[in-house]
Amino acid sequence: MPILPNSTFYASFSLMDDILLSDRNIDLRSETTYQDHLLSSVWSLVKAAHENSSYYQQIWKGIWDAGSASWDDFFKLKPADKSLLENNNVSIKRNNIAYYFLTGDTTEKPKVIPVTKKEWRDRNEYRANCYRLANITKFDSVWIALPFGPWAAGHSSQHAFHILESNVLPAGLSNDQYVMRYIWNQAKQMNINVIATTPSILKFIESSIEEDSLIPIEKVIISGDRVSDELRGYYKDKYNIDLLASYGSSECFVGMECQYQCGYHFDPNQILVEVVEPQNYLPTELEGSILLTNLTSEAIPLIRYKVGDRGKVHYQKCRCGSDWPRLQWTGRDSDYYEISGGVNLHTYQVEQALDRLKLKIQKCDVVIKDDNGGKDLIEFTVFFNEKDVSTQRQKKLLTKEIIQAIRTLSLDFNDVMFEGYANVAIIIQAMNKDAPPQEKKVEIRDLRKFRSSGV
Amino acid sequence: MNQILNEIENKARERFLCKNFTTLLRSLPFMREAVLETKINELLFRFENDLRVYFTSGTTKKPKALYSNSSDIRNTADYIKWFCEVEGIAGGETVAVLMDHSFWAVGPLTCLGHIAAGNSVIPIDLRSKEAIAEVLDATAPTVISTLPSKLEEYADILSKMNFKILETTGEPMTEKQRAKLEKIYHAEIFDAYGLTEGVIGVECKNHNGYHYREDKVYLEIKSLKSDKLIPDGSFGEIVMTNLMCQAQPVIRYCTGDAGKILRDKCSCGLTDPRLILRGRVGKTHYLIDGVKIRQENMQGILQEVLGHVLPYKIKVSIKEGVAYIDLNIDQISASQSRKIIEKVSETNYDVFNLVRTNQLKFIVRTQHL
Repeated sequence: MPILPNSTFYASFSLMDDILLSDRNIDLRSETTYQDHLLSSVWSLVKAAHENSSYYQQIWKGIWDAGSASWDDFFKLKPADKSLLENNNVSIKRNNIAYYFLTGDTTEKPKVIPVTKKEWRDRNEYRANCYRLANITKFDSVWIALPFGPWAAGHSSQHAFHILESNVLPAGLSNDQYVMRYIWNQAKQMNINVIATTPSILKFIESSIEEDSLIPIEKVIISGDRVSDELRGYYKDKYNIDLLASYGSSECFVGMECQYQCGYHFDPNQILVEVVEPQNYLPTELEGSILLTNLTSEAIPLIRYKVGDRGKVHYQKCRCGSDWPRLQWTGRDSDYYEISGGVNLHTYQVEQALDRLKLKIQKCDVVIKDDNGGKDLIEFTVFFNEKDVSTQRQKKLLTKEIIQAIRTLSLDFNDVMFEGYANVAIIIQAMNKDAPPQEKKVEIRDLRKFRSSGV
Repeated sequence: MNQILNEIENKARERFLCKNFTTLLRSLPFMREAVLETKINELLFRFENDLRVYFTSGTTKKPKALYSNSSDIRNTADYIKWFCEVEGIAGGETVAVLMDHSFWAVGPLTCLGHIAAGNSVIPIDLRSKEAIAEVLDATAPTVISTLPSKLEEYADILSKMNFKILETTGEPMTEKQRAKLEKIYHAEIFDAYGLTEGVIGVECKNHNGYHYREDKVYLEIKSLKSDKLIPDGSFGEIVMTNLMCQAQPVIRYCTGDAGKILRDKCSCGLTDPRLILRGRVGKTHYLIDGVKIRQENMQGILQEVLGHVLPYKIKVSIKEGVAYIDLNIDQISASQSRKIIEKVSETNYDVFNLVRTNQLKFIVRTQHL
């Protein structure tokens, strides 16, 4: 029997108990009943997805059995991947959708994430419960320095903080240190003690406020990216600020660190987190690929969804008192780096963008450096055959073409370039025709003081 | 005619408000902008919870902060839902909300209002044309909600979409500009009027003033020259009492906009009164993104820099997303010219920000001394 959440997860959440008991008139604290309830929730999601989504009908073709209802049957289902978000695989009527958000981390056309009213409410309530684990209360005042616009993070965290009755200053991104300093001064006057942001934006805020100190801030809720130990140590030592990270994406909010920072707590009643062997997608108790099943998803059901991360789940009770299990993130299936503006830069995105050039590249070295004003400088050194780059004119034309190609890396990267959150430099180099073929066509190196990467 | 109007007025008031409401309200003083800039607001944030703060451009460099709680936001969203009903788009539409979604209130409130009305929204605050085009292409919206200047700036990409309706707000629009935009987009414009301090009204299909609901927002018209209230049907300064917000009460707030109230029944069928807007109380120069400079500020700057006001003319033009202030003035020195530009740039936070982001440029035509 694979590892599954058990009924003790509810023990410390009396409110949830009340809801569950009153709603269904069954006591989910009994182990057998709880497991049955969970299994039944999973299969009702699976069956609805199969009925309404051509994507799932296609990927489960040949293995689908209408009579399936066991965990073993569930683990046989082929996992979904990012292609689920393509081709408008919406499982409900369009007029049930409240928001359309976009997801980053993809190439070419933006991937649209439709969200129903119910999903939105469930997601934000869950997020608020996760923030409770980080001890956010109605006595906190939060500056949300996250992208708003077509990205879900800012909007969702704002709703979640409101559920907790915290005060909120929703002031998203700016690439301008003057504006950041201005918001900071407003934030100080309002007694802001929490910032919700990403590591790179936090770094930008710190550089914008110059000689002023982040000391009034007690905690920073990090979204969108992993936090390195160096970064945690730096802010703790310098300002006594705790960096508490959340884990999730536009598709699904997964969980949140507690004060002990020992993995992302998640509610198994909301998210089924499987750790599987990457070869056969069967559950493993060791470290493996992460698959998510979002039990409250509607518009695009997420079932055994490959997020591209690796991790391990710990079920022992945490020191913070929560019974929610913890997901320990151990790596990413593909290398990526978080750059200014909270955008992730993936190696595969660079490869795909450069493949669109008319001339074949020999190699590309990408170096991410600290630039002036807390911004990042991303330096693309692209190698071509000697004969292709022998004149200045050829180099100039290629530089122009490369800039165009890089703009297609992803919608959010294009926006970062356009808005000037990060600076980009292109260097064209000639490579000797006798040079041996390169093992890795694109290599990214992060030379910043505080790296924010998933490598 | 006046008798009929008075009867309608009385009936409307009896219907929505208790009889003592107007008496009580009129015993209170008018609220000027300065009240919104006080430190009391910041203290509010320190001692209350469940507050969200948005900003509005002030007459000074410092923007005014406005606070709302969950109930205020819900009430306002519910009112915007009614706007959707008046426009005939309550349910099943996909609305691209091309506005700022943090810092300023109008974007998030528009989204919530549309969702309450049963529409889907795509919040967009991108500036890159390519990025906006990609988002629109991927989501196929049927309605766009934005500022008139954005409709002009992004016409090359936005006009490719088949919008049923163009919702505008935030900036005044001339009849000529409206006709031009409707021709480009092949769609009808429904303009809404409001301030950060409170959402006011929306046009019906007749486009003859903004219908507003007196149970949500109570308007009075006062004389432009004194604090005396003037009867419905006469032009004066609009005074607003926002009945939807409690966190930061806006009571008898002098908006600085001029208009008149009409209470005759509209042929659209609505019995709610209409507000006919006639612009700002003083002359105002509209830049882009809803940012404006008042003529009185300009005169103050000239007085401050030159010691007196020379004959001058100001023309504002907008080209490719950049506003140009063209100041034609009699003989001044180069340093005075620089000083005027510097002072105008600092008129308020929004103007300052436009200058910093190269969205506002100055042309001074003079015979340098």
